[in-house]
Amino acid sequence: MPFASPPTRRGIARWGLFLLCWGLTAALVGRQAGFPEMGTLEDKLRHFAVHGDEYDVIFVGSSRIERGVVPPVFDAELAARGRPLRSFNFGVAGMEAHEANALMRRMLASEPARLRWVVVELEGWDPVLENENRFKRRAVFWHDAAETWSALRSTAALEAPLAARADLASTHLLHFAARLLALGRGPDAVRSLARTAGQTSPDLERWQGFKPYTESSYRYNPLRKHFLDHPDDYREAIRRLEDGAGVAASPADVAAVRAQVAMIRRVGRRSVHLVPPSPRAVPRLAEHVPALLAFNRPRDYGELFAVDQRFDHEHLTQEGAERFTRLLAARFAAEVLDEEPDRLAALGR
Amino acid sequence: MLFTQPLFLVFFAAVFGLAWSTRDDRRRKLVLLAASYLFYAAWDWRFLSLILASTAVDFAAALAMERTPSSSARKGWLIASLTVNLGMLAAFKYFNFFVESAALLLRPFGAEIGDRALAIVLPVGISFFTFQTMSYTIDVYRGKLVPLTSFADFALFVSFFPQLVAGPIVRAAHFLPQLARRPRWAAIDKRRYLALFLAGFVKKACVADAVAPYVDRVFARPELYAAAAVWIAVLLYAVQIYCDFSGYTDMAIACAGLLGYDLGPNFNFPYLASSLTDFWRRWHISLSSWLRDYLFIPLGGSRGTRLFTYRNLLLTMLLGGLWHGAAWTFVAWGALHGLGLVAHKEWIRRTGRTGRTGQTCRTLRLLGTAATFYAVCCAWIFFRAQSFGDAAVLLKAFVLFDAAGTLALEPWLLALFAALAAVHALASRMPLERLVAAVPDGLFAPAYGVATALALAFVPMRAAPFIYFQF
Repeated sequence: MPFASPPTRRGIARWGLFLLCWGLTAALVGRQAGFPEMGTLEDKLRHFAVHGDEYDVIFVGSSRIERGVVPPVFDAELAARGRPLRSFNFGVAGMEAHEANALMRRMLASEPARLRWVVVELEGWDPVLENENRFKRRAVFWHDAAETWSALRSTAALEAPLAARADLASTHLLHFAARLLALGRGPDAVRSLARTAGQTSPDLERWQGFKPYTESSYRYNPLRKHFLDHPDDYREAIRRLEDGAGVAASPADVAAVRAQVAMIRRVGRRSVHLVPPSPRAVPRLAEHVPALLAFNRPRDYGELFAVDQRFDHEHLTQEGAERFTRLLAARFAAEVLDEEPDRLAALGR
Repeated sequence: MLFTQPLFLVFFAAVFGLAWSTRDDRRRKLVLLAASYLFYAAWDWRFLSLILASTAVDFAAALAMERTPSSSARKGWLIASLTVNLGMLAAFKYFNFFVESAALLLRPFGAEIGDRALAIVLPVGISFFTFQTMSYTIDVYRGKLVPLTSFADFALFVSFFPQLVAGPIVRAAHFLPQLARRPRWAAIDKRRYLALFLAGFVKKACVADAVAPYVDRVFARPELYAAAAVWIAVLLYAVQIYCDFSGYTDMAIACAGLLGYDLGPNFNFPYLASSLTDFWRRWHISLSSWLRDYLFIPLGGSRGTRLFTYRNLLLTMLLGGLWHGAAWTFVAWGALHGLGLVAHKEWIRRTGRTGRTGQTCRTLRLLGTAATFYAVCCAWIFFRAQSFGDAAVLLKAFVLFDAAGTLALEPWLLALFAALAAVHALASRMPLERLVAAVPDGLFAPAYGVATALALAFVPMRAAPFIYFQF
């Protein structure tokens, strides 16, 4: 044999030791690194680490949630109905369903004492990773075993040529490997070592995670400009929304949303799914979730789709957000809280 | 397929396993040849014909030279080989440069030659493999080398994948004897090559790719930046190009070494050079020695008058600059180095100092190192700038501290530069071989595991191609 000798026990042990130390170090780095930088998430996590036990309800989702749900208004509305609860908005710009799951898994693992309801934005479980998002830290981060498996199932169910599905599946697997190896997480780990706990921005405290648009957003945001310059686009989107009632859910969507519900239930919390008022098409999954609060019906919630209530196609102005939150609180009280009075009575609230 | 990508690791693992488990040496070399062509085809399979043509022409020319007793016929074969190689370079790399330069030159005389530039794709590695094959035919012509009779061996010499796309430019006299005997697994210093691969990976992926965005930002719009930002960007570019190229070289040497072949050194802590002459003994050694042996010496070297020597030096460096890229900024870069080398030779002649260890005091050496690094950085400006206009703005800021822009770069980048400079200096005192040898046998595997994990943790999420691939 060209090799000096067949692999010896010592050689195998060295390989084992090498892999073990690699894996352990990568796991340590990944654990230390925590979440990658995503908009306001770091601030929110820091706040939640200190005040997590004070909240009964959290809202999880994209910027439609972050800019649309106003927890102080929600809390006041429930208190006025004799249901004093505290809520927190965990919406983060660009957050997709898989990412939201990864976030919830981490948050719920810390077992916040009072948390009872997790209100999650309902979205399709699109496995396609846009080129510009591939191998970005956020995309790598959500590829834990459960989410990768879910993404692979969605990929298999896609109506696309085999080669395209194989390419997408291998991309998900590479993201999973990158996460396992803590690829590129060193700077996050170093940053988290230097991070000080506690102090968060006063705005975050005041709004409990809701992020109002600033003056400069109104002036410079390109989406706002597009919205104002092309009103017909928006009207057309609303018309399409009125015509159809969402898109058909794929088997992968169904499996993923059921897994999400089960994950939240496993840790003793209740899931409530929410469709904010937006022209975006959402899969029809009502029968697969325990509670669904949908506001994407312009006929029923015309006020939320009025141009003066909207910042752009997808998002509400602060006034619109407060109006939406009041409606949300009313439905939440009627359709969610009223279902479990005994439980609330047991909690003494 | 970049050395820093997972796909390359899979490819290399497969080649490594196949090569070392093939009993027959001839088959083993065929495995390496097939792998090399596969590696090249992964870039662009159309250019396989180019590398095959170059290989066939030089192989045949060398054999023909050996077989013909007539010196004029030998010269004819050499010229034929050089014409093919330089013709390929001219066509693929310099055609548009020549056309655009001619148009620029003729415009003041009222002659318009229109837009004749072609959409030519530069075959990756063409500058490297043509220089490699040219050195072979020239050595055979000079009688320094006996031509190979095995086409497969010659093809492997030309296309050996670790050094195919960005060097080092391996000489036939160095590599061919290694092909004549089968490498021995037991004779390979595996720990050294594994450590070298990881060191190269860290240089490229964790340092060069990490500083690249800051450098790119300033070099894209230099007029917007303040002088301090330009300083940081130029210093970081010096770091980037060194770590990018020497990192690639380290990985190439390591891959070849793990397969049983030595490629020779290409870098020796160039930024510690105490003069430009010293710098060129340490930077891209395989190219500088190639230029010395196949250009400077044939031009007459330093055998004539002082001015004649200086002319040869300048010509060599001008062509060396042009080798790097088809743009006048590269020629200017070569010219600056040529002038620097001439100035240094003149300084030695007048002062009698050579700048080598033992002959000058420590302080003078340190000053020489700082001045050399500064001069090298000034020249890098031309190497990296997109135009002479940009280079002028950058140079004004870097030399005169005069800039109209106000944008800044993060100050911590300067601390990063200082840290990297310290590592560069420390590493020269503790070479990797010694460092690896100092690690106890049982600790190497776990230490390598930890180091691999940490290296991967500091990789930017998107790899950038190696700078020297474009040459």
